[in-house]
Amino acid sequence: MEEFHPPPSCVGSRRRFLWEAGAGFTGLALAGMLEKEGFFGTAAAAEARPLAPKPASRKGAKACIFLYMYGGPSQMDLFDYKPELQKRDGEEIELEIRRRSLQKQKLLGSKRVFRQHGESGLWISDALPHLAGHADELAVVKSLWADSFAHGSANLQMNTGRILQGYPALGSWLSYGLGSENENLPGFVVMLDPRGGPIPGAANWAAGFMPSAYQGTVFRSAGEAILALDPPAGVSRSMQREGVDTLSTLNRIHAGARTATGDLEARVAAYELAFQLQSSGPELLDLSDESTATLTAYGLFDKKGEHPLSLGPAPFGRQCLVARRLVERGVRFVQIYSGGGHQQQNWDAHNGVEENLDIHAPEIDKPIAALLADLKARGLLDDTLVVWGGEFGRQPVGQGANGGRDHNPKGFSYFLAGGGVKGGTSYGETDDLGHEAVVDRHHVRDLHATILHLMGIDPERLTYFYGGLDQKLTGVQPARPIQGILA
Amino acid sequence: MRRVLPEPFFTQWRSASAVGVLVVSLVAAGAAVGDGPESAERTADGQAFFETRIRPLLHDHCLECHAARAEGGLRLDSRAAILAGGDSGPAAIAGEPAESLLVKAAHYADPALQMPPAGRLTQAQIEAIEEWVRRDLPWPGSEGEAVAFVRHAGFTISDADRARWAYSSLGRPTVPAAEAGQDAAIGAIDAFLGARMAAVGITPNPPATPREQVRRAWFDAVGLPPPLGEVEAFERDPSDAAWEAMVDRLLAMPAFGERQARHWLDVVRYAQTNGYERDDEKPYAWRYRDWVIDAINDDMPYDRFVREQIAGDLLEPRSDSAVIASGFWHLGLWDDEPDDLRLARYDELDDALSTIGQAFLGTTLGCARCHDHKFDPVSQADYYGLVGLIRGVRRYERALLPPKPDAAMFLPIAGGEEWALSARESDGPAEPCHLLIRGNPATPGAAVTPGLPEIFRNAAGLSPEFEGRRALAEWIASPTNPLTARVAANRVWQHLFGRGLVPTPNDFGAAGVPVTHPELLDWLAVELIDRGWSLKSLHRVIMRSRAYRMSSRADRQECLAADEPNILLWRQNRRRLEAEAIRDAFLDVAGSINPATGGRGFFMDVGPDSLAGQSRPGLGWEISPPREQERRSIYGFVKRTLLVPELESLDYTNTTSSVAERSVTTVAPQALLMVNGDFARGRAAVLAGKVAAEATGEGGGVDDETFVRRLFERSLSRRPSSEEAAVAQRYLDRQAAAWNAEPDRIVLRPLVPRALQEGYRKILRPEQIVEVSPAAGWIVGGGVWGGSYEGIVNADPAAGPFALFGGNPSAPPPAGFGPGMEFRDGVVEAELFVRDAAEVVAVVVGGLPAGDPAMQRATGYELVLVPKEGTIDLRRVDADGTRVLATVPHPLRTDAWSRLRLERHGGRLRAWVADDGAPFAETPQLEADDPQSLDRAGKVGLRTLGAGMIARRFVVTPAGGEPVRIDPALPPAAEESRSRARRDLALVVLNLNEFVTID
Repeated sequence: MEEFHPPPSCVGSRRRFLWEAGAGFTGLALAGMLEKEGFFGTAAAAEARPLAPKPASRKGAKACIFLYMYGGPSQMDLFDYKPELQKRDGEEIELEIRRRSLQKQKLLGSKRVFRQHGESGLWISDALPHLAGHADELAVVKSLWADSFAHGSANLQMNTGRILQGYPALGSWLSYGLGSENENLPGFVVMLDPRGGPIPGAANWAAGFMPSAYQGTVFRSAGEAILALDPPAGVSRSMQREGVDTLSTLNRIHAGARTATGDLEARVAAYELAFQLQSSGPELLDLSDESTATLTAYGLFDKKGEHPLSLGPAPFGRQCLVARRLVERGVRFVQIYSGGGHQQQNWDAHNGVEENLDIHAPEIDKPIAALLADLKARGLLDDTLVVWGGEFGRQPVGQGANGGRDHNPKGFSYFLAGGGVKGGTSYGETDDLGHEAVVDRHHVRDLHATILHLMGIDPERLTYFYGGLDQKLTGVQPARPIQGILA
Repeated sequence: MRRVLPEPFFTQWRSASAVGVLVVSLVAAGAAVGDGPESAERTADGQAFFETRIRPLLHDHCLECHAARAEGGLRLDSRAAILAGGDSGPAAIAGEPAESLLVKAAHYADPALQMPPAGRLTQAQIEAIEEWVRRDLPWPGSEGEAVAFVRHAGFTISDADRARWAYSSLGRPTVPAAEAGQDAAIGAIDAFLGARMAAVGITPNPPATPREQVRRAWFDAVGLPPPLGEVEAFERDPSDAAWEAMVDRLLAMPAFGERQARHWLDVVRYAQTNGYERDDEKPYAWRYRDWVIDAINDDMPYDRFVREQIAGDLLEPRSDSAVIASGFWHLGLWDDEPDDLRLARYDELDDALSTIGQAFLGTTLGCARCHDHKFDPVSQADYYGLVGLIRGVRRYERALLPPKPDAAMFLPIAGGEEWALSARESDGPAEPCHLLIRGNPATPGAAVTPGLPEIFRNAAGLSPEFEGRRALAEWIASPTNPLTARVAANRVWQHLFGRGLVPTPNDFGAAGVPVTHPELLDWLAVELIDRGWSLKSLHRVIMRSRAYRMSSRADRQECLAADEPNILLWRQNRRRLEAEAIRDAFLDVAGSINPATGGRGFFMDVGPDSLAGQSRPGLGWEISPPREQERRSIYGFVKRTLLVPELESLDYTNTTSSVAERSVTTVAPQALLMVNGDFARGRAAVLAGKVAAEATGEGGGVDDETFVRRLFERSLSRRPSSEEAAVAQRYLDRQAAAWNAEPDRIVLRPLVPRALQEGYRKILRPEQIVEVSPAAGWIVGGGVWGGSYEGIVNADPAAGPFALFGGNPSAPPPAGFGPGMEFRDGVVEAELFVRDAAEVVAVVVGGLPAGDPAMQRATGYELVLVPKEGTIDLRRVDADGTRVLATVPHPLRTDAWSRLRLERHGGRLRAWVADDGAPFAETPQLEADDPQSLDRAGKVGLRTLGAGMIARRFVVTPAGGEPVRIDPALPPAAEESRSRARRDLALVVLNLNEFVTID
């Protein structure tokens, strides 16, 4: 694959944006408006358009949909079949349960029934029957490991590469590196679970030391898509038009007496874009042009489950469908959170893994299956990378009276599908109990490197100069794409 | 077009600088000076060629000698430097490989010219250089910008390192001959700048207009727009004396400290919470913020400002103020439940050291944590030597000491816990100090003596016993420290010109952007020290310069040709205001800014989205009263994991690590918030109201012409031109006509997410949960919240937030209604716009609020639409709960209007639902006879959950009465329409480019 190489050393914001300004713009809605004399010639102007698409010659997936299973789904109950664990159910063993804390606990075999699916014969449990129908699209990595046993720092690491707060999220890196194909929409969209956000909130989609234009925009899948999109009551579209026009007229009078007006023009353009967004936003969320079959497939008509915390597939299904519509419209990175808040409201199955799967597995199973099928039917799957997983996995030993499982960053599973991924792949292994990655181990940074690589970016060369360093998503340690899952 | 760099430009520079290293400094900072970006191959292809073929080659074979060391006067780390060449002439001629020394040297053909000396490059590498030159030397970024090079393996400090400008000792440079008649102190700045300009044959811009000057000074100094009177007074008397008097007034205003403190808070990554999972409050962090404001307002000498922050707890005599200042140590992120405690401890030390390095020394010390610094002369051993100086400071933690009521830092807080913001030293002997291999606490390396980095050691002339924070503070605050004063002076300059003389104010090292005017910055640094480290004094000196007062117009061709990016400062820079200044200006021009200072601060109103992003929505956030919302932005509570949209969208600082410069991005969501957001609209309404009052004539009517004039005067400190006045008048007329064309609709919208942390839910009053507009006659209720799980409660879909219509209590009720618009039997018809996101939408009859005011439900009968289920229900709600009386499937069109009709006779109910424009069916869709009829009267009302709703043609006909329309039947009256149009015009003015930029 021919990769795009951003300069490894972009010293300071001025340099960075000058590079962007020179990187070639294509397909701009407002090109005519912006290509005024001098506009691209100034750093201010380039900075004014942080999401301009770049560069034209890149090869790789156009978009990424990251299905984030917040809380840490249980690998040994979903993808990582461990007959040995089932066999030794109840046996007491000593394991590292938290950092440097060895404890004796009883093994907890999965209650799930595993079968092989598709031509590839990928093992998938009966918790995900619909998704199992797409086994041949999935590359399951069973040998990931991460650094933290705690949700906060583990979420930060999965999203930003560091267990520390203050670094840009994966979506920010992609927006920064690739811009957006559609400047009318944010480049990095986040959709949250109705039950709440993840720990520690917005730090998971913050832009860290990058400009805030690269931060994730929280998107609602229904109603007002983004904050302050709707005009206030009684303000009609024509009244808003009148307001934007009046503003532009007065701004042009102001600019007429000034020089090098790129920054001023950019603000005029932003108001025009905002006005357009007020119609494109609702159109994006208006599912009336989707067939009933599509809506049904995504689970939009399905009821909630029995459990009081259950939402059923409809909310996540709707978000998956909106994700497809966002990707169709050129959004670069969409992240959907399954699970919010705490404990059984998300995949954090301390209080019972069976109960947890009863709540959450049906919420995602049909929607993800439908998303993969829909992307494929529309010819989008080759250009769209789908990533599934949480901040860590879970322990093979039980916790509590209801068969719960504690956090486990030492071995867990992810699946990738679509753009550039070799479907029907089972890659890497944990030990016989599913506790620790042992064969073809990969740290989270390798997962990040893989995602960047599949998006057509050399992970070593996507850098942002900050604090005296060429910062990278993957940090200072070498990261390598997981070759075994690449098509 | 090629712009050729005039030769004298270099010559002047080279002779003016003491060190050869500086030759490229100017070029590097010169950005587009010289060849325009269009002249080189700037395609992605060219970039890729450079990155894959050339950069590694330069890096591995050339830059060790031909970057900072500039052997033979030659640097190869920027395109401009390559073209300019060294002692032997230009190293390359674009497009002419055969003529280029670089290519000749690589070929090893001439025994006198063979490079690199270690051995001939491979044939492929030589061909790559030829190809590169042939392609006009494609280069990343602008050609003047240096690519960073990596220090060679094996750490040594070279003479070049010691000679580097930033580490060289500070002395007062000779001021180039100033023009006669100028005060030397004032003239020096212009003399330094002028000499550089003269060398390339350009001159500075003329002064800005008096109005531009006054606006610039006000925003820069106090972050607020000037009153019209200030502008007019200076327009009448634009003398130097008047200017100086105004500057002095500004520097004396309390607002000066509030404005300048915000810059410093960015640098020290100030926040009031710890970050991470719990993101708990740091109980006394605000005292640090207030200390910074006070210190600046009191013009505390900068050396003391440094000393108190780093070691205020150790200074004698002990003062509360200095102890608070040492809270600097605990401003950072703090993980109360770290995965690895040892690592967390070093992460905290690193966070502190990195911040100290960037904030006070302009040095990225943090880079040397895992290995020797790749660009700067700081080794890993140096880093751990510094760690040794600060390792005695305790972790931020619950205080183990008993409360000391007299000490500023030990006030009891809720739950009896004691927290100390101030720094404190650990008891007992110091931990041994080791280098950590690759920064890993699990792999300690050689023992390290605590102390200063080698590059500073000799110059500081320090004794071997140098140890501890106190010593660190003294060394940083010393006038002999080569960096401290330079870094501080540069920050003052930065905020007065929009760019520092070192354009990367946190990084004076080799990876930063080089200084553009080293002598000027040295002169300013010496001035700062000589003026008793007075920052106000330095402000005064700079603000009195002609340079500061220049026009920002970029219209002089000779200047644009020589220096389009304005590196030489031939003009001022136009700048967009920061988020806080924009927000404060909104408040200020509306005349409603709350001057209260200090304290814990207020919680800015945030929308449902910000809260919904928290894992416990609302946790750690509070509601502040409206008057608190009108305080200056610096007093807003800063919570690390909750983003305030109004600030965040305008490039608010990153609270997790030191920020020297705010970004300036322009994206559509900013416009949305500034046009549709509650804060902006609220300010526009206040502003329009104030101005309308001023424009009200004796007859009581508002004079449009006066209104427009006063609006401009208040907001922009000037009168509108006749063209602008005409545009504004036209907008007023059209907007008033538009408002006058349609009756208002009733809008019900939730102000919080449907799941909230229980504690936050409890502090909300009903009107903070749901809003109805127009509000007149309506009573809102917060609904029942329950199903608590992990402390999070959900709004009950069966009894959620509601609004009931009670009419005007002081007017007699219409026929058929009892007091409070209550009735028993009758018919209700309405048209509802149902949002797709709505979970439940209901029309209530017989409605009465019931239950504890904090947990009120609307009892009565309801016609309920459940869009997601595709059903409509009739329900009875009483104090005990909800009972569905009848339900039928009814696929509802969402994001569209629907018509509803509900009839009630005692407990007998009939209901119809139809699409917009369609007639009701002859027979109702739903009928029910409530066996336990609610035999009472009540109000009509609305209820929604999950999304807002709109109602129109809302008509109630009580049995035996006339139809009464609940929503306005008629468009707003002419005067009300004009009033709204005036608010809309005020909003346009607040959004003008002119409003948010400094010329």
